[in-house]
Parts: sequence; C-alpha cells; structure tokens
Amino acid sequence: MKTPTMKNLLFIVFFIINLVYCSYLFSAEVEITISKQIERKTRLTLLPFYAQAKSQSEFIILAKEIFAIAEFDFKHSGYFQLWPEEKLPEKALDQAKDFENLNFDFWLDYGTEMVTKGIFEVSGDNITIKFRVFDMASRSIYFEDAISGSQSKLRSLVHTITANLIEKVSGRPSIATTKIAYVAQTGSAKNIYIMDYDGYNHFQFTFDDTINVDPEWNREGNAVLYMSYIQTYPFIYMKKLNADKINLISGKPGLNAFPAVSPDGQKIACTLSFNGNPEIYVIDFYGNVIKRVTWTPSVENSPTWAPDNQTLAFVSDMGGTGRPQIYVKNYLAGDDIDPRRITFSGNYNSSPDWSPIPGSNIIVYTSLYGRNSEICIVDANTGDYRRVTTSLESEEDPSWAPDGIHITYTITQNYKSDIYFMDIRDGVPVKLTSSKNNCSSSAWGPSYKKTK
Amino acid sequence: MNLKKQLLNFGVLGLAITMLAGCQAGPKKVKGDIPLTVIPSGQFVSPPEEYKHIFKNIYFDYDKSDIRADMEGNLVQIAEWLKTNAQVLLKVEGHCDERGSDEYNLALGERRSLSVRRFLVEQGVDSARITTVSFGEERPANPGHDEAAWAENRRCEFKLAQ
Repeated sequence: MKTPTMKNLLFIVFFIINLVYCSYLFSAEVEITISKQIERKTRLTLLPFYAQAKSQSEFIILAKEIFAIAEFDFKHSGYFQLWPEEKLPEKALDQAKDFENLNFDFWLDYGTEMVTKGIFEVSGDNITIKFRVFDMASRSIYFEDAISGSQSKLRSLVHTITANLIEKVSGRPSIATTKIAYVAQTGSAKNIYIMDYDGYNHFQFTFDDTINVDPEWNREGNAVLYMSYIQTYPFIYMKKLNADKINLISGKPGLNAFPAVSPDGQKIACTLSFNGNPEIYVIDFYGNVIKRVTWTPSVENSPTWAPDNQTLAFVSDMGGTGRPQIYVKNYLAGDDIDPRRITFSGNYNSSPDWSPIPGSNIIVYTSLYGRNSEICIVDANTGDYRRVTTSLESEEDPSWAPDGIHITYTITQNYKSDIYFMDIRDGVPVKLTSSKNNCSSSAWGPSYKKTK
Repeated sequence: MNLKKQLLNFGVLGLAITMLAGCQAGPKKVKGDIPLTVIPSGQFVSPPEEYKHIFKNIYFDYDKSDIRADMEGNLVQIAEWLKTNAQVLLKVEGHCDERGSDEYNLALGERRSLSVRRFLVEQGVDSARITTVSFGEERPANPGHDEAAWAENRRCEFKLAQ
C-alpha cells in the first residue's frame, strides 16, 4: 500500500523538523492548524537606540526612526510580545546607554525574558548599527549583530537585523525584509506596484494604460510574473525588479492567466484556454506545456502549489454545483484521475493559496458569506476548515507570507479596497495602503534568506 | 417505424457511445472544446453603424456561460452574416459582473466568449475566424452596483477585423 508509507515518511519528516526546531533555545513552535491556537510569545524589552557621539541631540530623530522600524518588526513578527506594556521609567531607559553589559538584577522585577540594546554611529552618509540581545534566563548574550550601509537604506538595514533575530528565535523565514506586490487602479488602468511588507517604499512596477494584474513572485524574489493586456490579449509576463525589459512567458490564443511558480522555482501552474476551455496547465518559463492537469467542461482557475512541488489546489465549478469550489490534484497524476474536492461549506470558495511551510496541508482561501467574502483556512487532507475573518467588510484574495503565519489580503468597504496583512492566529488587520486608488490582489514575496 | 428497426437503431447508437467512450483512453479531448489555433493580426474595431443591429451584445445569467434561449436568435443572425461576409474576422469579448473573485470572473468571461464561439461554429462559421478575449469584471458596461447593472455587465461584445 502506498498511503501508509507516505504517512510514515511524512511522520519522519515532521519528527526531524521538530527536532531542528527544538534545538533552538527559544524555539517557539508554531503550527498553523484549523483549531484557533495562539502560542505564548517571548516577552521582549526593546530599549532606545543611542548614537555613539558626544552629543545625542542631533541624532534624536534618527534614533527614534530606528526604534520605530524595529518596534514594528518585533510587534508583527509573530514571536515576540513587546514588554512591558506600560511606558518604562527614565532609570530603566537609561540602562540602554551601557551597550556592553546588562544589569540583569534590575530587570528581574519586570518579568521580561529578553532585553535589547542598540547603538549607531553616523559617518557622512554611512550608518553603522550594532544590536545586542540579552537573555534573562541564562544571564548571557543571546544574539548580536552589526550592519553598515547608506542612510538612504536605513529601513532595509534595520529590517535585516530584526530579521536575523526573529529567524534565530523561530527557525523560520522572517517577514521583516520581505516585499509585497499588489495592483492599484488609476482610471480604467491597473498597474502592479511593490512595497515593503510594513507599507513603506511603494514603487510602481508596470507602466501602461492597460490592465496588469495578478502578480506572483519568482522564488528568488527578484522578479514578478503577472498577466497583462499590453499586447491586446491576456498573456503572462515576467519582469525583473531592477530591469525594464518585459519577458513574455505565455502568449497562446485565448486566456493565459494566474501564474503560480512552484516552490522549486522550475515550473509555472496557470490557466490556458487554447484547447477551447479554461483548464489548468503546468508550463515552463518559455511557455512550453509540461502537462495539462484538468480535462473538464467547466472553468478552472487560480492554481497554487503545495510545498511538495507536485500537488496543485485550484478553483473549479465542475461537479454540477455550478459554483466555484476548491479542488486538489497531483499534476503528475493520470489524465483520467479526477481532482478531489476539498471545500464543501459555502457555495463560492475561491483564491486558494497553499502554505509554503514544508509538509503543511493548510490552504488559505476566500469564501462568500452572504454579500461579503471572508478569509478561511482549510486542511487539504481532512477538509476541516475555519473562518478567520468575521467583519462587515469584504476580505478576499489572501496570500501567505514565507513564515506561514501571516497573510496579506484585500479589504473592500464601500467599493474601495486596500491591502492589509494579519497574523492568521489573531486575525488583527494591519493596513498597508491608503484608499486613493483601489488596491488589490496582493502577493507576498519570498524572504531574503532564499535570495542569498 | 417498426419495433425491430427501433431496437436496431438503439443498438447502433449504443455501439457508437461505447466506441466514443473507448476513444477517451487515447489522446484525451473534452467534448465540445474547439481549440483556438491563431492569434489574428488584424486591427479589430466596433462593428460599423449599419451592422450594429446584427452584432448586439449577448447577455448571460449570473455565474452562467451557456447561451440563453432568448439570445440564440441574435447569434443565428450573426452566423448568417459571417457566412455571407467570409473575409471578416470576429473577436468575442467576454465580461462579467462585479460579484465574485476577479480571477474566477476572468476565467468565466473567457468561457462565455468560448460558448458564443462554439455556437457560431455549430452554425457553420469557420472556427479559425473567431478569436476570444476575456476582460472578467474589469470593463463594466454599467458602473452601477445593482441587479440592473449586473445584468448589463454579464455580456459578450463583438469586434470585427478584415
């Protein structure tokens, strides 16, 4: 029998992953499951940053800026609780001035688990930041990092330091250095934009007056695939972040849409209709068909890859329901193997995105409840699902962050839409765009670790 | 027709169905799908004023792509016109109303275009003359947010080229 062997194998993989996780001193075991579960976070005291200079006064604003960037990163890391909740008294803040040592006894009363110290030095346009984290339990330095670069790259420098700490604590990719691609509307034109995960450094990525939608990152995080009508018909293109050249990926007759890059970065799942009906295909980066996946008289769209590089989830209105539901199929399975339906609640389920964490069966998707759509997660193996959002607005089109904890998604209110992110365990929305243009279709880019 | 002949017909039909089913094991094909083979290079424009009454929009029911009975007459007219004007190429633009996901609507719009194309091909128009493009919910004909607007937006429009 094939299934038990697979299960055993999966079990062993899980076991090894757990071992690796447990080896981290502060390893917070995070597993997104259908049941709502919030693990205890590590209490972190973030002390002010100080300039290594005779006079602090000219660096007050810079110090506050560094602090604000780091504070946001830790608050939204998924692993830390900033501590204490109330404001620290002067004598506690003064402790930040001694970068080398920590008075552990002083902090015992606060019940904190980690205390940070940061100093920086400015020389011309250049800035050097040193960061140190003390562990209260072992009374030792837990983490140390230093980084230098142009002040114009300040946000990215701070994000790199915070990401290194978060990744040491969690054993997972951090979102602190990631980017999010999204679509913004100007008149009847739609273009792709890119921003940092915290809503800073927005920049326009495509520049024409047609429709450019459905961004998807390549695995290296240095290019975005998308669908555009720039050549009249809906084709799939790819463009690098630092280049102007647009590469056509798939330009077959009919619809070429919804590109989804496999976790190994080698293949693209998408919808093509050149055979006379919108079906799921797997193609290469030159648009050659590797495999046709579905054979139905219905509509198939929005494929997403499981971490195994083989299983696809996608939307279809097959099966006589006349309404979109989510199905899964291994793309290498025979043509006569029917896709397996995994959503049975609600009559309009769409926009699936499979968790990037190896071994995960969790798919985040959009489900229609009355007039509003809501974010849900479903276990692709069991079909167990949970509704994540319950607001009166419409939440839709979720995309996982590389940490498998956060998602970016769209909230629409009074026909105006904006991009948000949330920790899927607490469901608290963090707004990233402001309603000037309708923003939608956000896609979370990979973590910088993978780009190294 | 006597009973024996009827039974014989049934038998032949049954055999044909079995053979068709058997064919599925070979190179697979979904019944009714007519492949799109070329991307026409011509410049497509709205139908000239004198033919506008023929190339009227085709409307659809919510979340449906099959041709409504009340739209068949229009399509038969279009097919006849295309057969007498054999040099003209047709582009069928599929659209949806704003409800549902952008992505699903893009695929649904394509399917609406392909339904219209299939109907015209069944009327005898050469499939190579008809191309499709879906705009999903991106190009509403009516910007409203009620059923009247939605009904106008679930449509296929026609463009012509020589």
